[in-house]
Amino acid sequence: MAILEVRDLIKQYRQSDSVITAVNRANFEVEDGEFVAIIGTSGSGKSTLLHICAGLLTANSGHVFVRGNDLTAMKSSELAAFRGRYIGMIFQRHNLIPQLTAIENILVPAMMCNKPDFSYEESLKKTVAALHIEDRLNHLPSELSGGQQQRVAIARALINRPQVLFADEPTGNLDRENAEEVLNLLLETKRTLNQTLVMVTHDMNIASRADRIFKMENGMPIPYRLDKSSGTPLS
Amino acid sequence: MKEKIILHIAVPFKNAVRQVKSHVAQFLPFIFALLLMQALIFTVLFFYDNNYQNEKNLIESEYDYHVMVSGLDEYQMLKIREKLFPVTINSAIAESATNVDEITGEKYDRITCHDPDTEVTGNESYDVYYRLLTGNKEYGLLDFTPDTLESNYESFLYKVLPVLYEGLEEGEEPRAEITLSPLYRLGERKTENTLLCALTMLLLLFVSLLILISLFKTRASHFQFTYGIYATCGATARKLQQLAFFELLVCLAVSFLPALLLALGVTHAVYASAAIPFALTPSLILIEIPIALLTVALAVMPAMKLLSMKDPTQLLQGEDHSNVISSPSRSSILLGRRFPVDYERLSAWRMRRHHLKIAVTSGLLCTVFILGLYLCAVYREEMRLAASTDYDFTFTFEKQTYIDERTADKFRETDGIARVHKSHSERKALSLFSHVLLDRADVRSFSGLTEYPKGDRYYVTNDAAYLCAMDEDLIKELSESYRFDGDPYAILTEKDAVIIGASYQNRSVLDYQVGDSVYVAVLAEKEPEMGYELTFDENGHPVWILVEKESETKEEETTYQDVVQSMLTGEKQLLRQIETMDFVYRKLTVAAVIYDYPSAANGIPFVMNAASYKAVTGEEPTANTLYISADEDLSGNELSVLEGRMRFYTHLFDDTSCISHGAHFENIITDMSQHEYLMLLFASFAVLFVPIIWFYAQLLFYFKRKREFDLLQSIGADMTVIRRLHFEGVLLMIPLGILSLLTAALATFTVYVLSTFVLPVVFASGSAVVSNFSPNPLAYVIAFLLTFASSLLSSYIPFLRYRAQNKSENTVFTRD
Repeated sequence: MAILEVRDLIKQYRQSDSVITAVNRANFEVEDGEFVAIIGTSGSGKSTLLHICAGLLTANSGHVFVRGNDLTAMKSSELAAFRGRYIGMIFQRHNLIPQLTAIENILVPAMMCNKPDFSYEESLKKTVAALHIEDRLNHLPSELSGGQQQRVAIARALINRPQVLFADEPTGNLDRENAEEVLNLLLETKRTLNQTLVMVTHDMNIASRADRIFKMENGMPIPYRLDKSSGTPLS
Repeated sequence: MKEKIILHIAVPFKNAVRQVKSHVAQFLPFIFALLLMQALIFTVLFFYDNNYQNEKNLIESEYDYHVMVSGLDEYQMLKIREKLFPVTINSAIAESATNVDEITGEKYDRITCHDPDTEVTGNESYDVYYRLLTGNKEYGLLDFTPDTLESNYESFLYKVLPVLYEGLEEGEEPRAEITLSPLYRLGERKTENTLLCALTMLLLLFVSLLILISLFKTRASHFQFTYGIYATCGATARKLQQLAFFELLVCLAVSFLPALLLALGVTHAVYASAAIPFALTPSLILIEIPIALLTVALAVMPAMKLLSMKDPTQLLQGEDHSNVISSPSRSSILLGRRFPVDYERLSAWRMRRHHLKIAVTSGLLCTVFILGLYLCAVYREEMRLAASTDYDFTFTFEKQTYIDERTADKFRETDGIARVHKSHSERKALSLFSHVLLDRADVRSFSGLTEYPKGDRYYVTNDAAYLCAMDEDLIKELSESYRFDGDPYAILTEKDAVIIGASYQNRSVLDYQVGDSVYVAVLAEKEPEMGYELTFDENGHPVWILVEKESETKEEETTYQDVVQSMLTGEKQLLRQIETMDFVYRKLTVAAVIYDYPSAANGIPFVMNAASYKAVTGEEPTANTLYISADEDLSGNELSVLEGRMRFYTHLFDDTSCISHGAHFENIITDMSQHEYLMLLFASFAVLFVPIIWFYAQLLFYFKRKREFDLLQSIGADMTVIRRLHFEGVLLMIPLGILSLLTAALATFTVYVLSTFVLPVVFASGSAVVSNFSPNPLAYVIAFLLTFASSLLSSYIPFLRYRAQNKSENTVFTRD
């Protein structure tokens, strides 16, 4: 069953006298538990598409269904609550709250949504251990390295055990070793929790590990295939 | 030179104009702050200049002479005329003048003759007036110049004094008098005015500097990322200061004209409301410019210097409020806590530096406002008291001890006299080797009086006690002006009755009731046996007559001389006197208590009849001086006429003297000065900065939290929650605002305590008039409302802006 369905999605930006179509009639589906990568050149609209799918941006027209719920038809409060329960978002620029420590940043979604019958302590313990940030939990974001900040951001996105995880170039600011580690963690979590992972990336190595790839061309996500052994496009 | 100007001034200014133009919203608070500052600088300059100009115009219209030699006889007049040509006359005195000064066009005659009642005295008395400034040599006039006024006066005296002293015995004083007019002292007044203006300006600059530094530090803190980029690219401290200076210079230029118009409008309105002329001196506008430039330069220097000392990397990292966050080194357990209430409280605590800074700055400004209004009220009251107690002439009958009412009435009936007040005898107990015993039960704590014997029944004082004698006329005057408990007239009919004051050094210290007793000490050797007889004067008024009896005189004791020569002072001397000398204590019964009576020496008055006074002091009471106040609406010339009349009276009565104090003129000048309004304006401008501080700091603060709010929305918060977050901010800032008001109240009270209780004791300058702490409640209400509104709106308006932005962008998260 498709956990994410996008139908005839259009998103345009007005800039002075011109209109830029970032997403041009996108149509695709993502199955439950799938890892989908979205690639494309800078400015191709991939981040815009991701944000719309995550319910963070309103499209001009079209529909986005997550778990059968039409995000585009929801009121803002309903959408916010839905995001808190079922969607996790990892941003490229970490976006940690500067006045909260690492552990406080991680627990903000828990404080906000407070799922019943859910053990946050256990979730926190596991996530923190998996991300190797136990010794940095009482530090402010300004006291952490870039890689550590990104791990905290990932932990925050995972604490509520979302069903769909959207990641906007999560390894963009990391070195290769850290990037590999973070990707492995995400994939492990996906496997363990049966999450769906939709990731925007520039890195073809990362994209090659996805179940499916879409490439943004003229604002439309086009199915894209890579030779997994060579990492080169098949079509 | 031209290239240097272009490089160092024109180019940076142009860049600054571009910067300010493209970020107007960021610089609006500075524009408002500089507008208020410049308006106040202009106002202060206009006020002091206009006050001086009005004073000068008044003096020059009322007085056309510097020196008056009065009371000359004919011989003296002719003699002086030989030595010096008087150059002008007082036109009110001489009804006609025959010569005209070709330079000034003024009418003049050489001499004025002032003697309205020649038939009475048979002697003519001449007044001669001199201007000490002239350049007209054709009349053989003295060649004085404006810069040599004082030395001109010395030269003048050199010529005139020999004439006045001619024919007098050694030690004998001439009958004629030399008086300097206010015109002579105009230079001194100008200097005083300039000094006062400079002091006011310093105070204004101090407050303005605090405000501008606070605003600029807020800006530097919020935009340190930008300055970090500049520093990364090589900007030195000087360059950063230059950048900041020129940005504020643009703001200064933009606000210059509105500030000038505002100041002109306000100043004109203040003077117009009191029907006082206001004329602008254009050069003052130019004086304001360097003052404003200096203030701006001083405001940016410290902030930029501190910024330049930080690592650029540190500045770059501070973009997200990191620089205002206190590192906790431990975390809160957020699980189970409320969102957004507990969340926002935690955030507020972590960013407490930001919140406290706003509260403290706001508190300081409210303090200036409340204190300013309080001091304004104190000033107004002091001026009112001064006006009601000042007098223009002191007329003394040297050889008489008592002026009868007929004589006093003659003065009262003179045209131009509003009020005549008789003097009374008043002696400090200290100067008489006397002291007063006061029952402990009737003395309040912290009275400043000496406890004696310690822990026992009495308090004792000699330097705070003033023994006074008054007759029926004086008591009548007192009862019309002051509040009494009991019957003050009782001291005239009851033996050893006394009116006692209730206050000392600005506060109530005594709780005497009618019928209580006090004891006045009389040195045993001085007091003869006394008896009283009650009799009545020709008007049927009761008078106690002291009947002296023969008494034995004691030998002087050694200890008496010891005490005198011991050089002890104050309390120690008093206690030594009590312990080593013999005193007889005369019991006085309280007939009445008088409140807030400003005795001449500001001690506690003990008012008794003539007989009792003589008994305790050994002296006959005297009332031989009249204090005379002129009508308020007299012109300077009319006042001169009145003064002439007073001096004429000195001829009518033997052995009298008249001193002119010029209070009338000073009161007119004080009324014209409008200092009260200047203080009000100062206070009001300070409080107007409160919303500027709040809004600037809070708007930038919430602007930087936009990303945080976006993030929270992405996690699951909706707009209702975000609004609640902002509301929590309001709930936090309101108590801080109230705290800042309490600080202001405390500061005002501290000033009151210092000025009313501490400084008078330290400098022995207290008054017998109780000074109550009565701050203006309106000041507190205004300060509270302004702080409350600022704290509320400065948190709520950012929310409205955030919500509007979200709606227009259709996103919960703005892309980079």
